[in-house]
Amino acid sequence: MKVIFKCICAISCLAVLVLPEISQAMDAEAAKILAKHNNCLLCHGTDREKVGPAFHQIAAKYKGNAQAEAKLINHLTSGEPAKFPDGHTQPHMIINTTDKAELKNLVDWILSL
Amino acid sequence: MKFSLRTLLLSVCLTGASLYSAGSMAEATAAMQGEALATSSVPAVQPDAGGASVTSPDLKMPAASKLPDMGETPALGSPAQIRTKRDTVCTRCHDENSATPVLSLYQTAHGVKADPRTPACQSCHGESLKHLAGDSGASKRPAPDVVFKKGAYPASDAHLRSEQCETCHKGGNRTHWLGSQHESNQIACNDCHTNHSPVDKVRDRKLQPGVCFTCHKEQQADTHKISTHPIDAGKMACSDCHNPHGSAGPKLLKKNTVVETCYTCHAEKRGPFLFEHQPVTEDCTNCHTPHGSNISPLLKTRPPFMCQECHDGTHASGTPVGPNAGGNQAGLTSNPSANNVGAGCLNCHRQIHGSNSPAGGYLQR
Repeated sequence: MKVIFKCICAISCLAVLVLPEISQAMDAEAAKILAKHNNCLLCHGTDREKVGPAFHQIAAKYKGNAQAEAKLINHLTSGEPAKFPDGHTQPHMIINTTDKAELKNLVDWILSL
Repeated sequence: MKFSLRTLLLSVCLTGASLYSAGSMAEATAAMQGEALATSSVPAVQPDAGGASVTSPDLKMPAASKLPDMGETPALGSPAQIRTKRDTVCTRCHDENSATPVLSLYQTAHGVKADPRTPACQSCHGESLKHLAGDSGASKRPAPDVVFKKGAYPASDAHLRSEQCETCHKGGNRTHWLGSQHESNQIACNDCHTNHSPVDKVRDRKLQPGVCFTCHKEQQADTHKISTHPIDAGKMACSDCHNPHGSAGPKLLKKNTVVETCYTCHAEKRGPFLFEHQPVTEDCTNCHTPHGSNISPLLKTRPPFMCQECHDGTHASGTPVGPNAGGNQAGLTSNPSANNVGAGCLNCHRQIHGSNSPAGGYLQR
């Protein structure tokens, strides 16, 4: 009985550790595809700064910020002005999707980088 | 044997010392060899007959190089370096993460950087200074000067798109481009050709008909009929008969007339024949439809109806064609009627394209 209980505890601990990784991997692929199709990667590099900040820079900026997800979703859908390195401002491109789950997935992926 | 701590420590120190000294000796040997290489006497590079030096700060040509001078100057670098630097204006954003293929251009002839004749991004897409600078007042970044495919921006006018290609690709097969059927119908070069991909479908004989058939649906349907040129079989392509870039002949045929085009393969129909059949020498499409037909061989209508479009009467022409062509055939006492011969004109009149026989006035032999 004790042995069985210990086994169950061990398996559930492992599951808790492994499952989030699996779900995160699936999200990443879908998010990358969405980013590529919407030309996000033309301005935002995944590992280097281009015309816009790199995704990991964005993630670092919003680390620990509870409002980060909502802010970023708003940024992608509202067309609010974005400042460019050469000084000019321009409305940020509005993402071409109305699927809230897809949008949340993308923002979560960016914030996880 | 008792293994004391002191013995252990001593052996570890000795091992470490010997390893360290071996390593440092190896390094010293390598360093000495390196120095020897660096200070070996290399003869000074002589300027070539053209007068230009072949060295630059970063790229030292081997001393005994007999390679031609590619116009490299110390300030700018090699043509490949110049080209790459110029392209980074665009590829700093339009890189491998682009949704549409961009960098695959470098796998094509248009991407040979070392040749100063090949175009850079801005050679075809225009300097696009507005696109590079952005515009605070606009809702999005202004379009480049020339947009070839509709994407984030509408495509440029067909004439402008074709002009970019024409700076290099003119003359030859494209002599008749201006005013040709495709050009007059607002079709530009990149509507058929793919530049940024190493596979340009229209330049592959097996894939080419597929591109033509995106617009020419009737011809695509025809190629699936019973009698057809072997296009589906991959043995013929549209460009075997047609020149899509413009032609002096009708229907964008390669040669000046229909008959000339067909004779490039069907030379036996050219003649000259002793007895000719006039619609044959005039235009093959009087009887045939080249893309496909359910009447073998590629006929527009069946005999006898086809023949009766010109030859009316109980049995076609009343007047013999040639001096030796008279007489009754097939044991009949008068001119046989078409019904008598089972409506199979070609059963007797076999040499329908023309006859070289002295007795072939009726094209029977």
